[in-house]
Amino acid sequence: MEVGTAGRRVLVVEDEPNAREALAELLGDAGFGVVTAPNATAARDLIEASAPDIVVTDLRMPGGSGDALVARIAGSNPRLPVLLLTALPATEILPETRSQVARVLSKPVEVSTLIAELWRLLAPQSPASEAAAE
Amino acid sequence: MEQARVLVVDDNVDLAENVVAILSEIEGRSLDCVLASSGRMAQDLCAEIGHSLDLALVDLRLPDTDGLSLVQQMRRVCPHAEIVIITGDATVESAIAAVSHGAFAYVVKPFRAHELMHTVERALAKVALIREREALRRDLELSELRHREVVEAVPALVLALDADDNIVIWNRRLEQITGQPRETMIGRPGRHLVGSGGDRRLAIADGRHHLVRWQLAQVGSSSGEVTYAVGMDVTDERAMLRRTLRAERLAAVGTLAAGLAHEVRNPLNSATLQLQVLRRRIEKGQASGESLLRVVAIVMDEIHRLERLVKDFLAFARPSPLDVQPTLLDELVGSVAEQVKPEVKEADVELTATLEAAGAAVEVDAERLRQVLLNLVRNALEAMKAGGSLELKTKLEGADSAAIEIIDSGPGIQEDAPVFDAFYTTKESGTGLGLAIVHRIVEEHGGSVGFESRPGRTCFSVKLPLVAPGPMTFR
Repeated sequence: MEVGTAGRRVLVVEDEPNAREALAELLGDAGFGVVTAPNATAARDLIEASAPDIVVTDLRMPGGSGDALVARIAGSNPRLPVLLLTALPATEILPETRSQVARVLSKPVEVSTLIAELWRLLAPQSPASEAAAE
Repeated sequence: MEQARVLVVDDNVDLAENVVAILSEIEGRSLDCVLASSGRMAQDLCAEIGHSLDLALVDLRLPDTDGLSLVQQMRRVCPHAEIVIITGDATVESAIAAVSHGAFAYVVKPFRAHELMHTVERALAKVALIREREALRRDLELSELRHREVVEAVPALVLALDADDNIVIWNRRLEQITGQPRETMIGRPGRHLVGSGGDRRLAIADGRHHLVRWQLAQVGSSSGEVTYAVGMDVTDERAMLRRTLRAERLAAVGTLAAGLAHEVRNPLNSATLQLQVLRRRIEKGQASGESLLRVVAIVMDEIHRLERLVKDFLAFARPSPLDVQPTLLDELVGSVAEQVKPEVKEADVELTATLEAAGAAVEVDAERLRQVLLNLVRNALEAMKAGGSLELKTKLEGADSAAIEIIDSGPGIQEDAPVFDAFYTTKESGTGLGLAIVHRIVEEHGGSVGFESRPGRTCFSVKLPLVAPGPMTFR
């Protein structure tokens, strides 16, 4: 586990229960504190309640789109990085949304890739830690 | 008062002035008289005012010219003027000769005033008549020119066929586009070029074909039946339409592909992540039989989901041909109500069937229509998570159609939601194709499907055309 990322809290927003539960277990195993939300509404409450360090969110979900959630975070928590994890082709992601997130990963995802991206986004912006993250 | 220009040619000036004085007595005319005292002078004046001259009074016996040749010359130079010969007894014969050379009449000296006046009036009346006819002819010529100009100048293909379908008009635009000059086309058969109007291919100069949209007008005239045809080159328009349709089709395919990709990747993602969980547990030595089997079951579920997606997608995108048979509507809906009873009970929903289309027959593929109704019923059940009521209803709508209604007491849907679009879904499970399939099947039956919704009552209505009354057989 890299110094500086262990114990960091990730909010996973995902409507597919099988994916949500697997992500919780795998990220937890990797040393993250994981909170999950099945939709955008629940995610909004959790951002307030559990102050995550980073958000991993799906886009197309029943009960409120990921786009609105991303826009809301960009407005109220501009320093909170968002990683988009979506099954949509890149062409279908709104440019506005794309510009408001730190990274986009496509489903199906390799968890090692996801963890590497989370480390990179959470690491302090120094050359040493950049090198460690790569 | 009618104006007229008169030339009096006489070497006897007194006599000439006398003539002018007599002419001024003519009522209703204002005469502009010019005198010439020699043949030479008369020629000069004619050269100058010849075209506007109406009448010449000519004394045949002139000192410098032969009167007859003067008359002939004046006829040439003054095309509209009439010539009246004034002559003494001795020259009556030459006066007669002058008339045969084109003079209007002759008056023998000495003459009475009214005799001269009468002759002059008759001559002027003839001149007026000729001038009028001339003006008409010019008007006609101009009007014909205008019509010809229209045919030549309009940015359209214009041709005309006579009663035997031979070409009588072939305009410049046609010459340009076909490369065929008018001289070769006039008189040739031309019906095949225009048919009875509408779009037709026309061979153009470079050997290719253009598409021309013809409009025909059949006109019966004194010269027999004529067909006028005006054609617009719609080749570009047609090509543009084809490009637009193609672009729209590609855009629709793109949207569909994006939706399909989304629906494929989600189960793939869940299965992949669950397999990574499995690997992790095995690596950690936590691979108890039970925890392994749970993951295996989830992965199997996700694979089944993919299977279902493929099946639904095919049903939507490439349905097998309909196998239609006349079917009693109430019977079909009743049997669907019977079929769904267990699911309805499971969902804690109360089902009623109100069948009010007794004897109404529809021409349908019963299996497909059953699928439509099952999809709508299952949607309704899923909308009523906490139970509720469901009504299946049939009724006649006017004389030629019937409706099936599926009414639930769920929370309702926004009326502008694109529920019939492929991959639109608000449910956590499901492929987003159920209502798209419903829409497609109903449309293939020549029917329509729509819905009305408010909280507590959502009604999906499937309208189908009735079989025309008459003898029919049922399966």
